[in-house]
Amino acid sequence: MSSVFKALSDPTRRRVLQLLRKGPMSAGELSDQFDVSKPTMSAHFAVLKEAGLVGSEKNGKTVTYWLNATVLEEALLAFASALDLNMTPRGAEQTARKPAEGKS
Amino acid sequence: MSDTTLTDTGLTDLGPFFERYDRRNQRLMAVALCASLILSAVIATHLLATGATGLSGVRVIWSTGVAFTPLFIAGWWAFGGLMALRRRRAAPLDGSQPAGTVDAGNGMRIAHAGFAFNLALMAAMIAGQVVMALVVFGFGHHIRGDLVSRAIMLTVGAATIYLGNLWPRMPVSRAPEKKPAAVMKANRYAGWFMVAVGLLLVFLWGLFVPFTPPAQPPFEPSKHREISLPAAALDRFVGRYDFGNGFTVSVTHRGATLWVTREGIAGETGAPVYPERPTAFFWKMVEAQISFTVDANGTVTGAAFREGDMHVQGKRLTR
Repeated sequence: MSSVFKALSDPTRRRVLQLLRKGPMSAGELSDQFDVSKPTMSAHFAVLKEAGLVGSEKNGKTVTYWLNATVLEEALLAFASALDLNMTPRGAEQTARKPAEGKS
Repeated sequence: MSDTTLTDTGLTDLGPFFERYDRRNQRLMAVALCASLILSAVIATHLLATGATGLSGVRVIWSTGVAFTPLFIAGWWAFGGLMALRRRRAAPLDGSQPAGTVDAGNGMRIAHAGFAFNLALMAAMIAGQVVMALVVFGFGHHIRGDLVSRAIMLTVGAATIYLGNLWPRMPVSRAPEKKPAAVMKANRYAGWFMVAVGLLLVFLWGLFVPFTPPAQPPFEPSKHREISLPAAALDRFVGRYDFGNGFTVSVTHRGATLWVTREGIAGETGAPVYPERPTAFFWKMVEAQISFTVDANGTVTGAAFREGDMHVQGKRLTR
C-alpha cells in the first residue's frame, strides 16, 4: 500500500491517472500532455506500474496504459487531488523539471 | 498463479482456473439450494400441520420465506451460470483464456471475491431461514433477532465492498472495436455503486441503525403470589377459549390445578397455571398470565391472555 501512497504523492502521476480515467492511452499520447522529458515520464509510469495503479500492453513499438485502480485507490486519488498533496521532495522535483526546461 | 499454464507468448491461460472456479461455485449453489429446500419443506409442513390454510395460510407461508428463499437462490444460480456462459463464449474455442499478467491477477482476484460474495449471500439466506424455522417452531424468544440481522448485514455488506472495490479492475478487451473506454467506465461506476451499497449495509443496518428490542417484562414468576383456591372453584373455568387468528386454548382441570393447552399444535401438552387472584392465573414456566372474565351471574364468558407484549382478549366457546 505504501507504493500506492508514493505513486499518488506526485501531481504528474495523479494527472496521468486522471487522464486514464477516460480510457486507455498510449505512452506518447500521455507524454504529450506534460512538459517533461521522456525518461521522466517513463520513471513516473514505472512508479504507477509498481503500485499496480496502471496496467500496460505493448503492441509493436507502442505501449498502451490503462487505469487499474480499485475503488479505494480511486477514492485516495480523488482525496489527494482535492487536497493537492505534493509530497515529492523539493530536490527531486527540480531534477524532474530540468530536462523539460531544456526542451522548451 | 501456480495453477495456470504460462504459454510461450508471455500470456497466462486462465481457462483451467475458471473451470475449477465454476465447478466450485456450482457446488456452493447446489448445497445452498438443497439446504434451503429442506428448510422450506420443514417450515411449510409445520405451518400446514398447525392450521395455515386458505389465503391467510398462503400469506403466512410467503411471509416466512418458504417460497422466496429457494426461488432467489435458484435465480442467483441461473444468473451466475449466464455470466459464466458469457465469459466462456468470449473465450477462444479451445477453452483457453489467455490473459496478460496484470489481467490474469485481476481476473483471479475478482473471481475469488465473487466466490466470497456468493458464500456470504448464501450463508445469509440460509441463516435467515434457520432463524425463521426456529421462530415457527416456537423458539423465537431465545433469539436476539436484532443481532442476527446485524450479523447478516455486516457479512453481506463486507463481501459487497470487497467485490465492488476490485470490480473496476475487471479485465476487458482492449480492442478498439470493443469500446474499452466505455466498458471500463461502466465497470468503475458498477464498483463504486457496489461499494456504496456495501457501506450502507455495514454502517447503516449493520452497525448504527438502532433496533428496538421488544420490551420484555422481566421473567419473575416468584413475584406472582400464589393463592389457594378450592378445587370446586376451578371447574367453572374449564372450557375452550378463542383469541382469534387461530389461537385457541382449552382449559382443563387436572387434580388440584388448571391446565391450559394451546390447540392445533402437534405435541403441545399444555402447562399448569396457578391462581394469584380468584379469576387470574399465571404460568411458572414462562412470564404469562390468563385472567377470566366473569359476568354478573358468575358465569365465565371469556379470558384475557398476556405474554410479554402480547395482550389478547378471547371469548369462551360454547362447545
